[in-house]
Amino acid sequence: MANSETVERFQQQYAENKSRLPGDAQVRDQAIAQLVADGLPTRKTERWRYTRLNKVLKQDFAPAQLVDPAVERAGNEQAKRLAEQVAEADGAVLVFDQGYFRPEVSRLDGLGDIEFKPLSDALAAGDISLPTAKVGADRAFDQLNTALVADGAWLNLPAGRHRPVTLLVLAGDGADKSAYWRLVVSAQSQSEAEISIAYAGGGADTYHSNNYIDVDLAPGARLMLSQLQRQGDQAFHVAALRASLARDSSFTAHLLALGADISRDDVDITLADQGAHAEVNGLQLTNDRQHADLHLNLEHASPHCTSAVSHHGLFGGHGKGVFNGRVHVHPGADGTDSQMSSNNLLLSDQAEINTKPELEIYADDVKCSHGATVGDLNPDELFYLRSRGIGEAQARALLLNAFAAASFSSLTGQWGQFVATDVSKKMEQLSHE
Amino acid sequence: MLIVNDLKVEVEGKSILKGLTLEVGAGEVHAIMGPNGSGKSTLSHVLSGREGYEVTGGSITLDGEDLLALAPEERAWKGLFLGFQYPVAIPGLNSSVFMREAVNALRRSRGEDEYDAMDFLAVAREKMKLLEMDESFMTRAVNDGFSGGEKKRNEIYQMALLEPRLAILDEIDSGLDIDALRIVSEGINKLRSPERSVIMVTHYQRLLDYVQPDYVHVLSGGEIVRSGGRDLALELESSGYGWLEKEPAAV
Repeated sequence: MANSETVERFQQQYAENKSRLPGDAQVRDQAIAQLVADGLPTRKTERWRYTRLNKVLKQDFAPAQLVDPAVERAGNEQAKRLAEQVAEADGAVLVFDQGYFRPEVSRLDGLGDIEFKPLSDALAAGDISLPTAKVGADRAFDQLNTALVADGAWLNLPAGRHRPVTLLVLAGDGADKSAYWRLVVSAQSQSEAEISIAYAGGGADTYHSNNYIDVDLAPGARLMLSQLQRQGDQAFHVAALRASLARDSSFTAHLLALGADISRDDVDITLADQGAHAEVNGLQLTNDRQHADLHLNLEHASPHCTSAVSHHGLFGGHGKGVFNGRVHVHPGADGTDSQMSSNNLLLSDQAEINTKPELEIYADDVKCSHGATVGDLNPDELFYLRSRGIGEAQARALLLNAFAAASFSSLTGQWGQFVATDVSKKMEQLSHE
Repeated sequence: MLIVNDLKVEVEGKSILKGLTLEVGAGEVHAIMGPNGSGKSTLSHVLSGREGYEVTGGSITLDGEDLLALAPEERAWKGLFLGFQYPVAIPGLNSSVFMREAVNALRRSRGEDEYDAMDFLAVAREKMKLLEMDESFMTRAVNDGFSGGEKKRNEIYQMALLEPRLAILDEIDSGLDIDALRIVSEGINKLRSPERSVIMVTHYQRLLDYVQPDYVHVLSGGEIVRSGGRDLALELESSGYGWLEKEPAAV
């Protein structure tokens, strides 16, 4: 196949790094073998149809090594600002550089009774193991993560309400590097937590950030997980999010894609037992020549589960977006209530969105709705603001911000403010193109 | 103050207002009543500058200035306010951010200093009391998840903050229960002043029990067919709008 050279390169990288990777080598061996068998996504891979990787796969991204802890960060504004947040955030702050945990800049004292281990320790100690990823070329980056990930975090949340945990995942300090990172969350029965993740990377470097989040919610667990992606302009960012929801558990995910050259989010949520509830809020803001892709798969595998998916996209310049939301209601999953919407605004003639909600229903007694809109601002809203004396340009700016804000308004505290500040900055870039 | 002279308006080629004439003096409260489809909402929208209406004849002046030449925001700067029949919900736009922007836009247009967040909060609190509104309202998104009554109260609250010289209230009473109607009406009454004129567009005379107008006009078929005092509203209540069809020429 066309990208066999690239696959060979990854195989080579794995062979070179294998000895230093923690945990059971067998799963990693399997993952790389699967990658060799399936290959990387091409234009013929259905789930990657609108996201072309030719440009990205030509580059030789070497896996980042654990660098000197005293590494100089001067000049990296994003990292600096993020580091400031360490001091401001509520609760614990865990910092990762190139995928590796950095205890010296993290703050663990806010963890309370949350159990945390760097992924490398948790794998070495056998607390967790790497699960086998789904097969297929469309899952190639999952296989890569499984094969090459060296560090990340394991969070074990016992019953009770916890203070928020913020994870700063920094990448791209060295050009042409791949940073692999993985987060494993075990939310125990009746636990209640908020986990926030900011991905950021430096300046104009070309790099690959490969992330994988694995969430397991026990009966009655409640988890809000938000991801703010603000990688550098030349980054290739992929993030997989897998969540399995047990009886009466509730999972809310926010995926906010602001940065990177090409970004791809793959969300797979399984509502495995009765009464489970899943909510996904996706926001894509792209301009220049940025490309953001969100693929979402919701498995309603049990009766009386509910889900709500809301996607918002704002695209300026030559910015592109892809949204694919699939809801699969299994036979017997009666009483399913599922809503999905995708609302998009195109701010320039060159901007583009490919949006596709998909429903596959194999149960009888279900309530499912989906809808997609692409257009300009609502003239009624614009008139309402102008009739109050707000000039047209300002009214437009307020409404654009409001459109975006709808997808993260439930985020509160320091994190909510942090997200709001970042989004409004990005909005300024978008509306001035 | 406001002079509407022989106003003719079309919507998508269909004639809606067919030569409407109306004069509103400073401090006066006018009620415009009429059956559905008579052109009541069209009048409100044309006065406030909404798109989609073609003025094919006549004029509207506010203190001698041609209102039709102005953008909606410029009309607001001149002191015009529209209370919407169906206020739009804007998820994601915080109510107090919205109203501070609006108040400051008006202040800028008058060459006054803008309010900072604290100044605005003080003013807003005072006006909220007027409408018996809960402070939690400030943190909610504009009209998002509001009940019918809350939306209409919000309109009058905005009127209180923007202190217009001419307020057009488009079916401000529709969809309100008695309690909500009382609060909204009391709000309007408190805002009456010798400098502030009000045009109340309504289908029902019920509102006029609470807010007593100086003049009542009956709009039918795109024209004002009768004008009178408060008695006219009472007469309409007993006879309904049926007589309009029987004697369309009655003036």
